[in-house]
Amino acid sequence: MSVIEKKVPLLSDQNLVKKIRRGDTRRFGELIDRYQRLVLHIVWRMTGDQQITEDLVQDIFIKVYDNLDGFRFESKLSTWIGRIAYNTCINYLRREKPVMIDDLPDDSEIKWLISSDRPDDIIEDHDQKQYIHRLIEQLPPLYRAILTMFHLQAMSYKEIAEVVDKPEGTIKSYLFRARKLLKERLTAAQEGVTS
Amino acid sequence: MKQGHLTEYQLQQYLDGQHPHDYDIESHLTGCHTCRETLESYRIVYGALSAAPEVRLNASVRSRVMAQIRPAGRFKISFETGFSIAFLLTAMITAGYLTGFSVDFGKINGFFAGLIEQLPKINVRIISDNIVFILVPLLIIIVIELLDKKVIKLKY
Repeated sequence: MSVIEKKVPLLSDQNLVKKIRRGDTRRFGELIDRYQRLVLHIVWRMTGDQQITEDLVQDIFIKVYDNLDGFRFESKLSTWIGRIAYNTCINYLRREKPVMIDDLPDDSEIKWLISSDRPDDIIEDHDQKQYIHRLIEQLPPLYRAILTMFHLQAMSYKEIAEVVDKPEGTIKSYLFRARKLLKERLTAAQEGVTS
Repeated sequence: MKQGHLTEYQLQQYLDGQHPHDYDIESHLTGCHTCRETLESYRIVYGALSAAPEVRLNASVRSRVMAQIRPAGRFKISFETGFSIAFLLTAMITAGYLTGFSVDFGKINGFFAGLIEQLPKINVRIISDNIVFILVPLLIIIVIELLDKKVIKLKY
């Protein structure tokens, strides 16, 4: 007997959540598949450690499951999950590295945090990217999270503002300052190499 | 802001796609080497920011999450279902009480009468005589829950 496989249509977030709430826990795996990239990128950029990232990602998805009944679709599911991921990371970092958490209100302070050491050779594209990634790692967690959500997850200012619980204007300002600083450091490094 | 040059803010907005095909910006860039260089530096920064980090999630993380959420299950009755159950049971018992209607299920009635006799101040006859009105809706609810959770499946 031949078996004709029916193509299962992709559920909307709303229907997926409804099914999980009704007890279809297997569907939660689908939710993980859908949002693990978002969570992974936020956590990785904020912690920078593989083992810690895996532990936190696990905690975050369990929190998502435990709190799913309270989610009312007042925001997008991705924003809600992003907020849980961000808050979990912030709480972790507050426990482990309390010095790095506070927001930095002006450019002079953020500049102070990022090393101005120039690499020996960043002529190749790959080296430039590596150098920029090293600079990103030195930024405060909030900046790293915002840069990740905007550039890797293509989230809007409004969505990012909801995730990190800051005004949209602050998000725009942080993005601008972080990118300007990275560009300045890159330019300085390039000039150092060519001079 | 540098006089005669595009601002850093304008250049970032341009790369963010906020000013697509902006003639003023594009014509300025064509004629201004300095702004083109700044824009090129920004392109490199943007490229690095958009590159996915070289990190992969171990497949065991997903399995560990699924293992942790399974045992707890999610058996719960929604407010609507709970209200319907309560309403149905109350209606059945009230109807039985007011009409005096009862169904003799022999041993079943006797069994529940025996159980309920242990409780003080309850009219044993009313409850035991009408126990079927409680059992049937409960049975229906259980079947619906089992169908909903796909523990039992109907074949069409």
